[in-house]
Amino acid sequence: MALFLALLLQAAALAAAPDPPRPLSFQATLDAIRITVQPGQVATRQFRLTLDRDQQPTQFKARIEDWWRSEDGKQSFYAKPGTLRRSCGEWVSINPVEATVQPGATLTIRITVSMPVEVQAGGFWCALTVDEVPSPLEAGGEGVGVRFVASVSAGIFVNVEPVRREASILGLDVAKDAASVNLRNDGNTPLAVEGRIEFFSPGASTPLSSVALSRRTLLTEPSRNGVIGVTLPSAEALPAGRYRVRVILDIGTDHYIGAERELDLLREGSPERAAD
Amino acid sequence: MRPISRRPSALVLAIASVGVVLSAALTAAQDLQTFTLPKPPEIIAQEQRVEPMRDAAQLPSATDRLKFTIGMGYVQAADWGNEISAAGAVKGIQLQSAALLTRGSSGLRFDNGAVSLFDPDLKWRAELGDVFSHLRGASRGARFSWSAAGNRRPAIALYGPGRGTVSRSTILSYRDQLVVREQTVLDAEVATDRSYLVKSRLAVKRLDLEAVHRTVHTPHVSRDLSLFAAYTLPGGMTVSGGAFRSAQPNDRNDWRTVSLSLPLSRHLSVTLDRTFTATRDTSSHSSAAMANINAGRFRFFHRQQFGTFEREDFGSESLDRQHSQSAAAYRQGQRFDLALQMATQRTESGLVQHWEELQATASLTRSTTLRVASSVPDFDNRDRFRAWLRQGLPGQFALQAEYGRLSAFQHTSAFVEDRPRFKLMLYKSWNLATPARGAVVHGRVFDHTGRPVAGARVQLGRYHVDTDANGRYLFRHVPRGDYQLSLVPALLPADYAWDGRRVQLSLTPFQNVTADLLVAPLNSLHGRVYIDRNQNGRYDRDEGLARAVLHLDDRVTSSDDEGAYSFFNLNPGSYTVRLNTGKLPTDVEAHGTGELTVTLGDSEPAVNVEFKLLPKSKPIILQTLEQ
Repeated sequence: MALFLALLLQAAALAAAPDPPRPLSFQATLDAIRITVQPGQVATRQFRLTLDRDQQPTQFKARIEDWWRSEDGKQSFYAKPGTLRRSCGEWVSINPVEATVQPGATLTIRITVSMPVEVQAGGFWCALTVDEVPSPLEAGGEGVGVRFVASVSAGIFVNVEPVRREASILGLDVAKDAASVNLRNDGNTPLAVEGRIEFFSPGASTPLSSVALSRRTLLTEPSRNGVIGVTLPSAEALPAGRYRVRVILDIGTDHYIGAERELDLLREGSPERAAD
Repeated sequence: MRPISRRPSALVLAIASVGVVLSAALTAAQDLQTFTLPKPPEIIAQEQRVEPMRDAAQLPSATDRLKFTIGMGYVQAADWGNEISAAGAVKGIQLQSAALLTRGSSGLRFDNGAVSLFDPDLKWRAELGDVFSHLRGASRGARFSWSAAGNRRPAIALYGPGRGTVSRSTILSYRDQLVVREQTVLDAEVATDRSYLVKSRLAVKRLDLEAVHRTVHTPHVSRDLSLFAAYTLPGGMTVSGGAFRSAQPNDRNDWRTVSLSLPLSRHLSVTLDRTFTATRDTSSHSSAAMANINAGRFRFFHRQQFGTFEREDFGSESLDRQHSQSAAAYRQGQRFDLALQMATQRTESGLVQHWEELQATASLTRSTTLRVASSVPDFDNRDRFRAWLRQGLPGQFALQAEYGRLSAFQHTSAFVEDRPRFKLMLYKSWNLATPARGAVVHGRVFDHTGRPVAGARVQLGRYHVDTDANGRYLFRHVPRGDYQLSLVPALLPADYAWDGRRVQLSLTPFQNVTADLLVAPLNSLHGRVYIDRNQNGRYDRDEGLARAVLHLDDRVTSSDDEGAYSFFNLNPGSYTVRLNTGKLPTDVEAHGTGELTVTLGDSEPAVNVEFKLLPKSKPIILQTLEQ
């Protein structure tokens, strides 16, 4: 199912800009592109971007990059294709690279992955980044200014069989208002990880509270480790106390992986720190 | 992306189904215990459904289907019987077969049945068993028809003795039909016993005309001629009339009718007719009015007929006769159907015939169907009660029970009472996969240098397949029809462009078609805009001009901070790159016209398409100072 995310990026012009730019809004397919191929195979997929009707004609430029995230998932890093060992960037071609999109029109970018004949098994990845670029014909104006332009990226994941999806849960911790799960990707392909953390009162068989863990991607390089954090429910729903905490994760295999431990949860105003 | 909202329920389901902890792999890291839980099969199935099957080729089926059924049964006070039927196709030849074999007091016999083979591509048909002929009627024999030049459909048939007739003659016939626009306009048949039939029909726009003449010599001598005409007026009103006359050695029949059909509304139509019939000893005139009401699930029909009936052998006695017939039906979806039919006939002599019947059909479950017919209101009249029950069973078995006046397995003697009987049959079906027939369409996708294009999606009608590493594609078993062969532009590898030229194919099953598709390789053009400050005629570091505007046809781009620019996804050919000199900084000027013509090849990008700029040099005008 295609998930469309409406993006509204406010472009602000500082002092010297002669005409304040209009906010740019468009819709784009942000689903990751996942392809399973054989060595030597060529496969083509699409990325779509639809400019809202009330926009001005806008120029977009696409490029392929390598990307990865910090272990806590809060920062993304981009580099030229081939930076990572498991990059698919040098096998991907796109069309068009640069195009002007009219209001209400859709830009469809073909993404073709041409796999080498000799390639290791496992997962490879890169990203398609589409940037709004200032119109070349737009007057530069006088003075100094900053203009924010829209940029959107979609992950490209290429799997070559046999693919191993394996992960280990290394840690499970709670703080006053947050919980975190420490993971390691033990397989040969990036994993899409999601799940939930459940809090059981001592002796209870049904959880008092459970918190969904949003989907995260756990790569195999530059780091195999990742931390998924989540904000806990309010103290009314999950008061301070000792709990059996269980995490259950779906890593895209035919089974779930889980871990549990007993933890003391302190909430705001509690006299002591939570003890591991 | 799978909705995150579905996940929690899946996890809860998993836990509920498994219990507390299924510790397939229980390890301890400090006090952290890890485990695995099996994922419920329904969740796995759901995930597999969510996964798009983009790479799956959609190819014509390599097999046809043939359904073969055998039934064994018992008929009360009659015989055991076997029913055999088959329907489907083998190698493109359509097969229809049904036969009834019985074993009773008269031994094993082939009661009825026929086998029909039809080749829709070569237009031949073979029939064996009980075949029907306009010349011969229902007969047992064999017939073979084929398609011939001139829109003709000849047939040769051998008809054996008819069932229930004293004649033991066997005749050979030749039939020919002239077919124009799928309509048989002329149909003639002549047999070795000098019987013949000529039939002509012409249906053009609102007019429908048909004339039939038939002379038969065996088993009885007869001649008949019929004419029919109908004309539909604007508004849907139809006027029709017909006449029929037949003559046998000891009898004759005349029949003439004229009718007017009036569609009064979408739900109501009325038909008025006037009919005259006569035999050697009788004649009758009748007028009738019929009304049809069709209101969704409810349908109603009524016919009221008045007339006179005369019999010359009774001293030209004339009787007035009335006849009325009604039918109402109610249908509730596909599972329930109820119909009530009533007919009443009165004559002046007081003779009254009245007949009412209620029929109900209900699909009680997906595998159980019950059909019941009974007289109304005399429900306990066993002579008028009929019931039919079919129960589907696992393994493609079915049990069928009937009660009532059944169609006998074997002909009963006229002296045997035709009373309600019970019949029970057990059926077993097989759905067999049989080889399919079809055309072969294959070819290559390549560019004009001959390089194959792998991974291009080729579409043939509703089928599609991706090219292999050599740019080849193949469709087998393509059914007859008109097809458009094309590429799917959205799934053409990004390095190629397609001009949209489709190939039209009219395929017959035995064709082997080669059709190649040509695409254009795309390439790119790279260059730079620089200010040749040191006037050495080449780009040096820090000489690039940012935000220079460049045009190529209707495309426009600008140079980056190092003065580099690119145009991508270009077809091979000659291009003119134009530097927009009006957007240049005021202190530089283009060297030359500001236009460069570039020829882009098939396989390599064009590089070093460079625009040299020079600093504007203002002349120094020295002024002479006055002393």
